[in-house]
Amino acid sequence: METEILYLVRQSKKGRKEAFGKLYTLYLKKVYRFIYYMVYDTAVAQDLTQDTFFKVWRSISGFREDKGTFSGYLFAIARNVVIDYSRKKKESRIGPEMEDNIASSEDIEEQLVAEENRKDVQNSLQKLDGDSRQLIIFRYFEELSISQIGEVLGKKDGNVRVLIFRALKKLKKIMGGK
Amino acid sequence: MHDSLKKLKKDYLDIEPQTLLESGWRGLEQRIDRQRYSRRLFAFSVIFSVILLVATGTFSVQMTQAALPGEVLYPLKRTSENVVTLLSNDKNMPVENRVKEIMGLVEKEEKLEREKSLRQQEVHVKILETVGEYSKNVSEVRGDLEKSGSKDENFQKRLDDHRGKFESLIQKHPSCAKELQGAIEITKSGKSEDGNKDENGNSGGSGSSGKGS
Repeated sequence: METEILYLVRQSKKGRKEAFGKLYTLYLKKVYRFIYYMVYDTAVAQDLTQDTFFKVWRSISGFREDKGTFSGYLFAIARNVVIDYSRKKKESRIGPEMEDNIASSEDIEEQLVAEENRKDVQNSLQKLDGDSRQLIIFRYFEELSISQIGEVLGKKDGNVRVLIFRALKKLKKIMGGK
Repeated sequence: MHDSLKKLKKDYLDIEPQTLLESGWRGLEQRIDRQRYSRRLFAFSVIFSVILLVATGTFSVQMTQAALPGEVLYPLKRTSENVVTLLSNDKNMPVENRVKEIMGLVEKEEKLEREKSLRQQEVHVKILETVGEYSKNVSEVRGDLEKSGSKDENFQKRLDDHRGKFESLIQKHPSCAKELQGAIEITKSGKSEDGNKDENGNSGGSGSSGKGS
């Protein structure tokens, strides 16, 4: 898989749109759900996802395989797109739409308790600051390695570990406050 | 909390961008194509503008340098000549320019004569004026040489060259013989005393026709 991705990246660097289209298909969901969990707005998340891939296309010639993984590169750009959006909008945390989405995607009657627990965590997650939230997403949802997260954030492994620890601590504190 | 996070992860992974899955790539592809087209258009515009600028600039410079007395661009030519002369302190350039102008005007006069143009007399006047300018420029160079106390053999050679050109022009354009003869006298008067002596050792003097005894 990694070989295939590298091949597609190299082809994309040469300007082969079709190869980039395949990368788009492979990574679309990852990028979208990360952005969605940062902005909690479907329309905005779609726009920012497209922006992310457009920026990746424009800058892919600058991607160096020896400097990191394509996933890390992609998430770094997605993160910057979200930061730029947040700066413009000066909103960071909670979108009322999220609760409705969760509510509609689950069978509330059958899994009410579990749903409540999840909602607690979900709500707490929404209350986390953007930097901590993205760390949780990268580590526990996208299951990126410490070094991959370091690539995205431009930080060393040791720093990343500390930051993840602090993020979890904040999350617990928010949940404990309920 | 870790269990809760695991369950939350399931929710996270269930999120799908329905619209983008259906038509996202098409939209992005169009955006990429638009950007490619814009970039190419911009690149062509820049290249074309540079070529146009260089061509226009080159053409303008050439036109200016070729301007003759009485023509629209001539004042610009003289201005640039003055600036260059001032900056380089080289008074030889005006001398050479006057020679080219005299030759250009003589050619122009002949053309107007063939066309029986009323402007022929105007050009005669311009030839005279330019010969006057030539005399002034030659005197300036001569004055500088005298001040510095140096004998510029190159300058004398150039004056000889000018005289040759004027004599050749008289043969081709006899109608301008009078004006060109004046220019020839200047080439002789511009020389030093030694340079003016003919084979018999006689000096030509200023204003003399240079004919030997």
